[in-house]
Amino acid sequence: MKNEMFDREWFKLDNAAKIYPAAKSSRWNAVFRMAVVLKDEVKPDLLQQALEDVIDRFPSFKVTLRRGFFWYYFQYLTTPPKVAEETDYPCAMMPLTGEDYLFRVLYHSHRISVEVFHSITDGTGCITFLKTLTLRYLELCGVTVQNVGDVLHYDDNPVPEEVEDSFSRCIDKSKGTLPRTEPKAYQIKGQKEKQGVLNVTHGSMPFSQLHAAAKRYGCTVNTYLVAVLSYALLRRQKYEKKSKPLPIRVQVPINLRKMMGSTTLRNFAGYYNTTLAFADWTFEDIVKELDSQLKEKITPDYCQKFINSNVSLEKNPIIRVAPRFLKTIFMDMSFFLMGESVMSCAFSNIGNVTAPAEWNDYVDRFEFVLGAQKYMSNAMTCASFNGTTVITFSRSTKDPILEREVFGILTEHGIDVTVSCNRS
Amino acid sequence: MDNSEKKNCRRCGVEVDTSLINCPLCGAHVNDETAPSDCAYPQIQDKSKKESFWKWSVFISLLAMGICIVVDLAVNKTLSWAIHVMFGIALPWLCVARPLLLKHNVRKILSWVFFGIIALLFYLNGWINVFKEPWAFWLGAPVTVLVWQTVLEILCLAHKKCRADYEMSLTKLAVLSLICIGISFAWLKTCTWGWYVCAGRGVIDVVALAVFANKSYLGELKRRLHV
Repeated sequence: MKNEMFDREWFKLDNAAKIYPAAKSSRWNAVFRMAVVLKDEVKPDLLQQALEDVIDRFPSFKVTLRRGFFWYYFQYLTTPPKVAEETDYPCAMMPLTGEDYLFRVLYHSHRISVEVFHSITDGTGCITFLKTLTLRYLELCGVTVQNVGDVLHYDDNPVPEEVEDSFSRCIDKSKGTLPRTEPKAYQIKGQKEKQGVLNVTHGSMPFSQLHAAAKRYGCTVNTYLVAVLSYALLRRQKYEKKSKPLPIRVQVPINLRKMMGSTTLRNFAGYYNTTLAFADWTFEDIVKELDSQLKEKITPDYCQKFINSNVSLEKNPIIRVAPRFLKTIFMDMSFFLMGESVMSCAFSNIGNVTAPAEWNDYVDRFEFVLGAQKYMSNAMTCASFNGTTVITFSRSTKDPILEREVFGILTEHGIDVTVSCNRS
Repeated sequence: MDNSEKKNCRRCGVEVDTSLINCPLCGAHVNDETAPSDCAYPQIQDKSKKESFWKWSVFISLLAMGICIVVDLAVNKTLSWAIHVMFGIALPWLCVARPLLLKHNVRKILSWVFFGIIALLFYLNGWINVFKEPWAFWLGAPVTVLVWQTVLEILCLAHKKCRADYEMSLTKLAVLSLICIGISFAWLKTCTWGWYVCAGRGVIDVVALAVFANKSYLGELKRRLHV
């Protein structure tokens, strides 16, 4: 069956999507979760109905991943996706069998979770899907919304811009590329959990307190949280008394859509690694340093160079003609050398989730969980909704070292944190 | 969530959700009993037994290999029979146990098994006459490929859901046979009937698929080649 949006039964992976099938292993693949916690218990039959109604609005989600001789590709699926009760750890491995969807919709108690394999979309695309699903679900529950705002309605037709590969469109070779090599960074090590186990710790707090704390230090909430995370990592490294201290490097994703004028629901995010040399920093100095890094370095020029670097590698004639298995080896190595080994922690902030005012009576909060990283043990995310911010840590190790440090710093700054976790 | 029910962890200074007895950050006892919470997660069944079995089987295999190497080196001052033991353990592990552990589909498991058979034939050939007469290449491998082609043809007809995958495997075998003819001329300056039969059958398969399966086969081929 053809998908009208793509004019054929299959379509190519976008530039950012290509790394994830290559980096996957028998024990790991890149999965993340966006979840909404409702004030009432989830009704599975209505959720299934909502999913069936919504899926055609998101043609780039209606696919499975298949192997080609040169690259992986997406194959359009016609069978409707099924919701399932949550029975596993968050962000469990996605079965990439070539027949299943690359996302799953799970429910448990009051929570609806959408877990996706990173190849089909990034955080922005996933939260858009979740918001549309929630809108339809609440509609089926009898909630009428006057103004849906920026939430896509399931009844609207998808537009070609939503499924475009924006990386290919936005390449401008004249602007140059970015240097690729960065030295190793400090990472928290700990006793590993059993295979497949993911410890998730949520810390919810009033957004007003977080905003006030950021204002006290003269920066944005995002910069403030990166500073808190960097400070926590620095304190930990000092505590460990390493003979060769390493810099602290936090990977911060950049939503390229606004800068490049894109509305795609596929991957279109870059990243910037904030770097903090190991030294006796005060928190104020860290905030100043990171604020200047995030303000001065993340420019349209940087984003253009980021896109150019990634796309030029993909368009390299030698790489293009190499069979898939050779590309996989090369890309997996670069994922380790240029990706996870050079950063201390990933931090992703989805920001304030905007939604219709009527939702305030039905939705408690939004959560964002990054799955276990392949080589790193920790990841931190943040999502805000209706005056509540939820900071989430996911880790594949036993001890909650980083979250203890981060929530400790936030508490010291006068923020009331309420913690919960997925394992009692 | 009802904030009035939450309790503070004295050590960490954070509030702890009502669904938890201990503070998730420091493990300190906070609540005497749990209360339902809307942000609670399901209790997960421990699935580690199967994983432990495979871990132990790998550990025991590696240990057995290690002991054989040490004993062989100690007795014969060189590696002799230990190599056979290592090959005997590694081959079934790689070609049978691993695909089963990773829950590969039938086509992939069969591919690994046939590759294993070919590897075994080459190993025996090398062990018996050090490739003075490369019968594994002349006869063993082509016969295995012929059986493999037969199995794939049957599965292609019987298993309609995965037909495209079997069709692609048949195409790959046709290409492999042609490559082997090239290798044969480069290595032995001649080629035996075995590879000609394999290549001929492979080409017939591909032509038949292109004619009878028509658009579905060619479409799949285009997709795989990203054309």
